[in-house]
Amino acid sequence: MAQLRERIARWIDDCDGEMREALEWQFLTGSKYFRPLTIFSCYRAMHRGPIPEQIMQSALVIELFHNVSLIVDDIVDRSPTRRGRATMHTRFGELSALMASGYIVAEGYLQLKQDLAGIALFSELLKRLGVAECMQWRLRRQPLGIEDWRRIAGEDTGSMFEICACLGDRSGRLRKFGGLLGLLYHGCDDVGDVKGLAALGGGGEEDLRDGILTLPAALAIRDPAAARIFCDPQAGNLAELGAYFVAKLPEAEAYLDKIAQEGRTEAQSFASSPEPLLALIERTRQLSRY
Amino acid sequence: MSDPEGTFGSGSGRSAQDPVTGFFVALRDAWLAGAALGENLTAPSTAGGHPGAASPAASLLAPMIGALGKMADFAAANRQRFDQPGAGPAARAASPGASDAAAAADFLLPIGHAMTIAANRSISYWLGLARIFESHQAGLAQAVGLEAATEPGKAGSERLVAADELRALLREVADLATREARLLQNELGSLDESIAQNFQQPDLADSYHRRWRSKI
Repeated sequence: MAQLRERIARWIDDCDGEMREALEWQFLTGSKYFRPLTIFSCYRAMHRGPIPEQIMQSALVIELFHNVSLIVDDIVDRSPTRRGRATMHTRFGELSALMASGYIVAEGYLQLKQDLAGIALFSELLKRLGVAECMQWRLRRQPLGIEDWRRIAGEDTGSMFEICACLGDRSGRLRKFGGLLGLLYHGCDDVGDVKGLAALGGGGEEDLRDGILTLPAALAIRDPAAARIFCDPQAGNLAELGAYFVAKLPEAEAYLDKIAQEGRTEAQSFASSPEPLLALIERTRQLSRY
Repeated sequence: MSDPEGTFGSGSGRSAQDPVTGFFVALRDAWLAGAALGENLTAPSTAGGHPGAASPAASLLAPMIGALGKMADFAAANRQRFDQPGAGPAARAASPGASDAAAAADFLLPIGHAMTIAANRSISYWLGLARIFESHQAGLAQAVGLEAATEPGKAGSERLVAADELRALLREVADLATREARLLQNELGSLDESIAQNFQQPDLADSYHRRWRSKI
C-alpha cells in the first residue's frame, strides 16, 4: 500500500501545475484504499508471487476513478465536507472540481497503457456507475423493498467492487464475490450513517433528506407510517423518520450478516486461497460496528 | 428399466471386480436407482394415459446407463492394464507395442470422473433448492393468506412485503442455478486441464511444452 501511495504522489507531481493543488487536496489525505486492497486481495486469492506491474497500475487507476465518483457525488449532494475537511468543490469551486474529474478519468486511461482487458473493465465501471446514480435518483422517495435496495446497491458500490475483483483475479471467477463485497460495503455504509458514524465519511443526513433507499430505509418503510414520511417529507419531520430507521438497525445488521455469509461461501467455492477474501469480508463487516 | 443386466451391459454381478470396473458399475447402479425412483414417482400418470410408453426418466437416463454398462465391461476387459503402475498415456506413447484398446481405456476414468462431477452438482442443486424453499416457506404461506387477514389500510404495505419475499426467493433460485453452473464449469475445467497435462508428449523439448491453461 505504501508503494501505491508513492505512485499516487508521483502521478500528481507529473500532472499539470494548474491541477496539482486540487489533486493533492483530493488524494493525499485520508483514503482507506479499500478498493486497491480488494484488487490485491483478489490477486492473492488466485495467484502466487509478488504483485505484478499490471495489477499495481489497476490499483492506482481504481483509486483515481473512485475519487472521481466522490468529487461528483459531493457536488450533486452539495456536501460541504468529507471526512472532516472541505470537499474539492467547496475548496476550489465547482468548475475546478468538474474539470479535475475529467482530467483524472483521462489520466486513468493513459495509466492503463496496453492493458486492454483493464480498459474494458474500467469502461464498464464508469458506465454502470453513471446508470446506478441515475437509477438511485429516479427511485428516490418510493415505497420500495429490500430487493430494490439490493439492485441499486449492487449497481452502485457493487459494480465498483465487482470490477476490483475482476481486475485482481483477471479470470472473472471472483466477479460475484466482488459484487457481494460491494453490497456488504454499501449496506454497512447505510447502517453506519444511521448510527451517526463518521467512520465511513458521513452522508446520512443527505440520504434521509433526499429519500434515498438505504438498507435501514428499505426495512423501515415496510411500516406504512414510516413509508408515508419517507415518500412525502412534508407529512412528518425527518427526525421521526430517523427514529424508524434506528429501530430497524438490528434487522439491518442481521441482513448484513447474511450477505457476509454469502460472500464467504462464494470465496470458499471459487478462490484457490480464500483467506485474503475472508479477511476482506470481516474487515468490511466491521465498518458498521464501530 | 426392468432388465438392466440384459439391456445395459453385464458389469453388475461380476465377481472380484477391479476398482475401475467397480467404479463404473457403481455409477451405473446409481443412475439405475435414480431412474427407478423417477419411474415410481411418475407411475400413476403414465399408467393411466399411455400404458406402453416409457417414463420420461427412463428415456432420459437409458443412454447414460447403457454407456456406463459398456464402460464397465470395457474396463473389466482391460483390467490387467489398469493394474500396471505408471502405465500412463505418455509412457505408452514411447512403447510401440501398446494396444488401441488399452489407449482407449485412458478416456474411461476421466469420463467417469466427469459423470461423478455432473451427478454431484445435480444433487447439490436440488438440495440447495430444497433449502431455499424451506427458508422461504413461512413467508410465502403468510403471503398467500394475506388478502383475507389484513386490515384495508395495511394491505398495501403488507402486499409489498410479500412481493419482496417472493422476489428474494426468485433471486436466490436464479443465483443457485448460476452458482452451480459455474462450479460445474470450474470442476470440468480442472478435469480438462488434467487430461491435457496427462496427454502431453513426454519427449518434447522444454521450450515446446504447453504453458497455457485450457478453457471450456
